Amino acid sequence: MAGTATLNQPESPNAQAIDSIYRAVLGVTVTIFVLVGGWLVYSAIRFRERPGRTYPDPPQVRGSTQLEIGWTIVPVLILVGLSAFTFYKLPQVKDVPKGAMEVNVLAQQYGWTFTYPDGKHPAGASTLVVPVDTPIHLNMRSKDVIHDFWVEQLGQKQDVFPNKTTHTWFEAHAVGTYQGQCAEFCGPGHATMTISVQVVSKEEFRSYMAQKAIS
Amino acid sequence: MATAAITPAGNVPATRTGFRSWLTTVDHKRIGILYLLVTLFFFLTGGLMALVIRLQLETANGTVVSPDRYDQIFTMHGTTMVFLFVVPVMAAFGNYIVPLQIGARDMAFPKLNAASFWLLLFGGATMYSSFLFGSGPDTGWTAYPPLSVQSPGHGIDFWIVGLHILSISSILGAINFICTIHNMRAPGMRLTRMPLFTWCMEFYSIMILGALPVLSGALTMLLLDRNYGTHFFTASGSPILYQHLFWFFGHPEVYVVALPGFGMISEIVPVFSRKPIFGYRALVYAVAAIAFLGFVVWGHHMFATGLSAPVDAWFALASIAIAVPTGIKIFNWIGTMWMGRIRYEPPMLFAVGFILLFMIGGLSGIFLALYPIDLQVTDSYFVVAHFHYVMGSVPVFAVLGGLHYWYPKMTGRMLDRGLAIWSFWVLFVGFNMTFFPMHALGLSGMPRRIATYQAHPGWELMNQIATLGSFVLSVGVLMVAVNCLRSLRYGRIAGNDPWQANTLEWYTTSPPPPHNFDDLPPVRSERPLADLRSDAAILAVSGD
Repeated sequence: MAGTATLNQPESPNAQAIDSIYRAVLGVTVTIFVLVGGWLVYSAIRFRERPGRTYPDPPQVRGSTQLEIGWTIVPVLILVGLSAFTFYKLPQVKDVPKGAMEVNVLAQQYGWTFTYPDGKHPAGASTLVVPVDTPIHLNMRSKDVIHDFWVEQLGQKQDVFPNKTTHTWFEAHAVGTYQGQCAEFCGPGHATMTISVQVVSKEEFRSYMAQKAIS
Repeated sequence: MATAAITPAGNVPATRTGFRSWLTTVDHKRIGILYLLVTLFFFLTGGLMALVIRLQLETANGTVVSPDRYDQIFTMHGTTMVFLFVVPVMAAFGNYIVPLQIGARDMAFPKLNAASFWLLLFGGATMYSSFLFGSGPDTGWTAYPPLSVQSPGHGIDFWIVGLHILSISSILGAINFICTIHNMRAPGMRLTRMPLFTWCMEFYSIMILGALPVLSGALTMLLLDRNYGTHFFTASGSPILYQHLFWFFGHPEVYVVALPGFGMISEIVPVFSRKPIFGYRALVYAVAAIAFLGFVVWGHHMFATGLSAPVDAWFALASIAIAVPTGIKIFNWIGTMWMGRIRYEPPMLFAVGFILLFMIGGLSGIFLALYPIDLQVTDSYFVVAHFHYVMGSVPVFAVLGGLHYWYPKMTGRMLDRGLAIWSFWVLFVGFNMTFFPMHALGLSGMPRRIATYQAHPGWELMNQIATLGSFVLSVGVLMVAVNCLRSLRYGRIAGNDPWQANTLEWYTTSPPPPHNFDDLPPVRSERPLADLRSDAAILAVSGD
């Protein structure tokens, strides 16, 4: 289980790139919150009126152009920095590596059908079996309403539409089973539309594909 | 210079107070109170639905309600809170306060104003009546096709017609506010001397006029797709087109809600800090910038649909740009408090709480604007946490701050201070207990809008904290309700200006007479009453 302040342990290059952007933004935003929130709370306590004391009228300051310019420019610079880092990392999220294995995905209320390039399907409902350290390119379509493919440890969400094909990819670096589920509300069975991605060693995958278990 | 009497006191008609007089009233103050009562009723309704949601999710594999019923409940929770509470509650305060703040006799079109209110009630009733016919709307408040086209029964049809009625109500109200603000200001009240709440209601109205017609168009197409075999959004049509239209409305809607909340905070903070607002012009420019940017960022709700790279980049950059004017507002509020003499009356407590919570919502928005992160956390509980810190902190903290601030003006009596302070702390703790753990839930993979979830490490505990928090929050809401009802009878008499405030509504009696003002003071700045007090002080000194 991941920490409560971070994304679940990323196991694919796209998920890792997102994780690094997330951590950068978390660091910056928490710092801003501590500084500005601290300034707010300090002001709120420091300048409070205490009963039984008399105070002179506070200075009737109406503003300061220099401060206004300052607290416009500094946030702009911070945001430019965060954006630049995001765009620098973006290709690692979006670009599908060359030589990826193509898998077709059909989503429907409330399950997933995966099809390998040779037309076979993995055994088991809504289960995808793939080899480790191999880029997998998913070509996805829906039979009915909008769904969304999301296996958090393997990267970003992608909506799945009935009238056009959308794409996503992942490359799992560790053997194991990764759980995900449909992330676009698709009807009363939405909560049950889970995805299971089983990542196996390359040898195991070769023998798996040779089995008759998969149709 | 002596101020001219606006209405000779002898000509004032006797005030009628019977039940019928409320049904037929065109007085902006009474309409404001009717708006307030109806929207607070819908708030309680939406809140009860939220409690059912929280009970259902308290444990894994919850069985409090069926998935079908759950879908209807979260759909109507969202719809009710957005369309029947947070947007029209701003019209409630706008109606009551704006004419008073600008020194006007009433709204520009009093009968139209009454029509806006009754349409709100009919729109809400239309939507809810679907439950009497066997099926409530069940596709989420966003109603994405094709799901919303396939949804059986007539729940969605009732929902669409109800929303059409509500849109007309809001559009008429917006036209009325704009005409009132531009034509009925007191002598001397230039735009640059207008109270900030009134400024925010101006931009609220402009945004409603820009956004709601687009929603109405999209909903009409959806209604035709459902009932008359058109294919705007299905088959050869485009489901994504609906999302563009919906969010072209939907994102400005966020600021339609937030801006009047900002306006309330901008009224409260200077009054209780005993200083002028820091950077009046900067705040107005910031509101204008937010209103403009609000219209060009809708695509950040759609990153996961797979827009093109340049379009993604535009929506990301435009969205994070909103952080700049939002930051300016926060800095100016704190700048107003700095070196002030802060009185912790309940409105100020709510205002400080709001600034802190809204900051959390604003900062979590940066995660969602930088879209690779959005692609992980969108449609998860992280987003639910984010928009409750934004759309939820406004009504709970800014609006309740406004209610505590203006209640004495509306009723002539003060709320109980001790109870109000206690209710603030209960609300503050309950709000954070409910919504803060949702960030963690989303980060650890819990999607939104799921009726049940399987046992999952960590999810159950965080859901239980949220559920407990939602009940604490409810206790806080009840405390505010009890205080409001009790103080009607037992509250201390408020007098015209219990807070030593700045704006014209505090010049007249509490509650104001039907014609609002017997006379008006000169308006020489955005703080006519503060000017009046300093004039009196100078006179007192020179008179010795």
